[in-house]
Amino acid sequence: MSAASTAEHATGEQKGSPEFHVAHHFDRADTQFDAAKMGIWLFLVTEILFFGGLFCALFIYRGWYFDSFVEAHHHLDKKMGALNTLFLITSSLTMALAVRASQQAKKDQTVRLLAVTFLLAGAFLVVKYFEYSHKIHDGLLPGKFFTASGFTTEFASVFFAIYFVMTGIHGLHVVIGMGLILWIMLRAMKNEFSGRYYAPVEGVGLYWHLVDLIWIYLFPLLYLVG
Amino acid sequence: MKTFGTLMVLTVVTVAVSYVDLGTTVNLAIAVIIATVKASVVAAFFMHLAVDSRFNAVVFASSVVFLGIFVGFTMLDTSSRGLHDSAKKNRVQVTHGPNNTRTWDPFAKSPAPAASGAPTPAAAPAN
Repeated sequence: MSAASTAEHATGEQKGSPEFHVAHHFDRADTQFDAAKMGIWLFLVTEILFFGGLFCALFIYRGWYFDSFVEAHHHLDKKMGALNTLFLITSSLTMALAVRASQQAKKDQTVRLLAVTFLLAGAFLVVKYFEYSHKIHDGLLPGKFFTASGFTTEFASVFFAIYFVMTGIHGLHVVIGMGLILWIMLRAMKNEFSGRYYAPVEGVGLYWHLVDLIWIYLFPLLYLVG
Repeated sequence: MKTFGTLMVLTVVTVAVSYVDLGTTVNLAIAVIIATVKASVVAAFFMHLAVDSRFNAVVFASSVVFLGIFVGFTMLDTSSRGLHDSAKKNRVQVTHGPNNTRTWDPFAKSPAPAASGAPTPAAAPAN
């Protein structure tokens, strides 16, 4: 271990990641990194398929109960949805910058950017909380719990079922992402990442971008088009 | 940063367009197209697909293609259900083949008595 780190200092190029080693079944560190990235992408594909099923349900119900969906979607606050979109896109930016900073072994900048990403995710959840509490207060709830009045169409409960399930599961993914970001931030604070080894940051970054991607589709389809 | 700027602009555009009513299909198409452009930008630049191994992009694209088939064919099916029900009502009565609407039971009484008094099958004798 110490021989490796003094060699590092000798070249003067990369510091940090003294604990990193290539697993025995990979020929080089690059192969290990590429394999890790490919694995993350395969996981992201399963997430896309998962949400894809939910989007399919959205389209089917929208086709069957079109008028209800159009009327119900006006009860969603577009401004809060747009604000959430801005939060998530900005958090994607700070996440991408954090991945780059970790690659350059800039510990403080990495930790700062990851913290900002974490806070933006928290802000997203706060806005979501206000949206949900407003809906619960108005009785705009899924399925049989729907008690709101003043609707001219009869299937608004279906729209809100889809709304709560999709945004709820997406919100769960945001919470999981916050946990992952916190984990990576703690590891970064311990100086674990450098140009030699930043795969975990890259992986969490990919997951976080996917969460943003899903919201990019969720926002217009639920809030803007109905 | 250019990527970020592009995403912000596209978000503003998509929200602005939603206030203009161009008919439901057009609004939906525009929203989906803008969302897809944003998604491609995020995937290519934030997720490094543009600079990574080509295989990662193939993996991602394959999931998109699959979703397209999944949602597309489902919508084709569900949106055309009941489309041809009225045609069924106008169908000519046929006695043979899979669409026959009249069955023939060899042991049933014939539906109408022959006018010329031809012998009818034996009915229950009224004695």
